[in-house]
Amino acid sequence: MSWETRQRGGRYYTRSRRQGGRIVREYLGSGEVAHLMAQLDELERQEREHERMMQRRARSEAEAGEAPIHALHESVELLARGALLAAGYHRHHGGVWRRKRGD
Amino acid sequence: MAIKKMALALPETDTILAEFKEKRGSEGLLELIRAADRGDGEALSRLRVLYAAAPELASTVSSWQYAAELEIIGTTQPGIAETFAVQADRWRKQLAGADPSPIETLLINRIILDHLHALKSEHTLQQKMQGALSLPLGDFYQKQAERAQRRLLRSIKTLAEIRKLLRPTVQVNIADKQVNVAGDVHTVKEALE
Repeated sequence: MSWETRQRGGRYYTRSRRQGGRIVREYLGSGEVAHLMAQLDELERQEREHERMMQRRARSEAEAGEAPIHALHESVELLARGALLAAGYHRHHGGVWRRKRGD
Repeated sequence: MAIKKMALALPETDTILAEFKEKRGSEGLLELIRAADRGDGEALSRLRVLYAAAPELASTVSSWQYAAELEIIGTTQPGIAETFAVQADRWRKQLAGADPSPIETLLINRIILDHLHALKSEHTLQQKMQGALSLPLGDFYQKQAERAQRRLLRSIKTLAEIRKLLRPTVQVNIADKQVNVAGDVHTVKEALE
């Protein structure tokens, strides 16, 4: 999206969009309609940027909140597994816990 | 051809414990558990010594869990934080039963933490849905709530498994037959309702 200046003077508004796998350029002129389209495009651009920022913030907050809980969760899981191993259990085929013979 | 297993060069028990208390989840101890789980006999022997000598492993982790719990409650809106705190205490009492072992206490605290996190994620999702929310963001918060719920279910399953396998069974004589009865059985999910 941009305002381009003609060689013989005057400015006109253009924007590019994807159509059927190709990039197509639209020429929207220099009148009132072109100005309105330029303002709409700028609003949409700002909304997209705002949305990207919101998503980045949400992901960052989620990671900050979840990381310590996840780490604790995994540590406790390992400690519980250690308790079973210390008590003489083992995981049969990596699944069900069984007591070893002789324990 | 004989295959030699590499012996784990691990520090003494006290050093492992001290390291564990200093850092959250000492890699030395956790690697020992992983090695024992893979079938390493030497690691398993060391693990038995550690678990017999140090029940305070569980209370160390419990204090970290409590800090994480306070963090969740502290970063929630005041009215809801109060509800969370009261519910956490209630669940703890209901899940603990008569005489929980250190490992059970650890697992119970993990369930409380996961339950609070799941509630908070759900609350965040509901709050965000009330405003204008794009589809990708809505999807993100939904998935976050689902992850928290799955983590909670795994925690409940592990407590039930530990209780089933590690609680002593009681032999009861009925007529001429002996019947094994599991120790105090709690339905964990019912305790959370």
